[in-house]
Amino acid sequence: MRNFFASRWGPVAAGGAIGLVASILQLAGNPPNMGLCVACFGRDIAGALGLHRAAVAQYLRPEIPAIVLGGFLAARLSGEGVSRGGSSPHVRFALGLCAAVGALVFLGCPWRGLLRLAGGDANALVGGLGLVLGIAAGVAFLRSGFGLGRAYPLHGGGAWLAPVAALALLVLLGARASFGPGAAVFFSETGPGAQRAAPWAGAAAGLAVGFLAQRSRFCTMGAFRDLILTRDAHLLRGVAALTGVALVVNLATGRFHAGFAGQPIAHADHVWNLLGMVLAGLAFTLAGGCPGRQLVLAGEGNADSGVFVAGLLAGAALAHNFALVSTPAGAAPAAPVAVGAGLLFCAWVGFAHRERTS
Amino acid sequence: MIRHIDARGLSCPEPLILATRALRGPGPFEIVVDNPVARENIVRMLADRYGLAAAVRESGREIAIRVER
Repeated sequence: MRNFFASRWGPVAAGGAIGLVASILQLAGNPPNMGLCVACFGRDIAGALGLHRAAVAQYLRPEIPAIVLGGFLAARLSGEGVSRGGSSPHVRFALGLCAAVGALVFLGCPWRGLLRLAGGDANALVGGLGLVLGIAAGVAFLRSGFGLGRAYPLHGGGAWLAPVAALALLVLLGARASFGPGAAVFFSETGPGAQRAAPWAGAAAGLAVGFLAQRSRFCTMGAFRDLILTRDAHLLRGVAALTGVALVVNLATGRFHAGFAGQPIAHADHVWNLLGMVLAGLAFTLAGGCPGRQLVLAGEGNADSGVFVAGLLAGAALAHNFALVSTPAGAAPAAPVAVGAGLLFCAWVGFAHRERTS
Repeated sequence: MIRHIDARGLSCPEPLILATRALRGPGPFEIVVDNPVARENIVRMLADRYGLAAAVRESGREIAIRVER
């Protein structure tokens, strides 16, 4: 089957769509410069489920499960849905954990990094530089033979696990389910977790983004990785489209404010903006996809990506429970230890998995 | 003698790296992948960077990409 989205316009369409719907979601109530962020929304979901107790970051963000379902639908309709896994799942879980910690020290996944940039947040340039450095380190490992091993077809319907879990989250949200006084599901009453667009809007946006991202293979990590590895700018056009569209919407609606200081849900601690994203970028590269791409792959039936996403949620919860998440005042006191440990772990993963596959 | 490279179960960029290595060697080769992303990436790289047209043969989930030189 011909896939239009495999052409050079595919990533442009997907990136443009992400920039557009994220900007609209910001106008419709999602937090500023955070219309769509897999790391931030993942930690909100972790909070809603009671995996952490930060009362300002608890909401069953419908965008995230909807992206999984969008990826699932696109894969099924194109005959690409396939249940596979078994490529070092335990390492991938830990990489998801590291990625979440790094992203929450910076305060955003690469998608939000681009949205922050489009909103004028210059700290995103620092984070972006860190991301590219982390990816470059990952590429060096790839060049030296890094790989987490082969994945194999899985039997028994494992492909349905992530979409069913995603659907369950949407049902919990739709029902505003409460399992008793003081029990989950938790909903923030103040803070970023209380800033939200209508659930149906978030779900519709996520479905569209997941669908387009599956068809086009949109991936922010892949964009820079391919540029460094093979000088291929195919996916990078999507990154440019995302940023460009969000920038145009921000300029048109008076939401572009250039500078380092006073940016929404951000801090100007340059060292840790940089190193947080070095860690995240390296973890994404070793795991083979940015968080958005991992959601889509999980929807397709890739169990390894599903495990990475589980690690992302666990990492977000741990980051809050151990006070590693940055605040507008800057990085947390314990952040250097966590980022340092994460970098050491990722370096070990990179060195230890340089097995030649023939 | 055509060289065969088994890239089944590997996700990009690993199949791409294996194909690049194969291009450094002499003669034709065939690389087998089992996901459409790897096929797209390898075919695109061969066309864009090396001006090579690959013959793609699918059987079930497996996709064989043959490069004649």
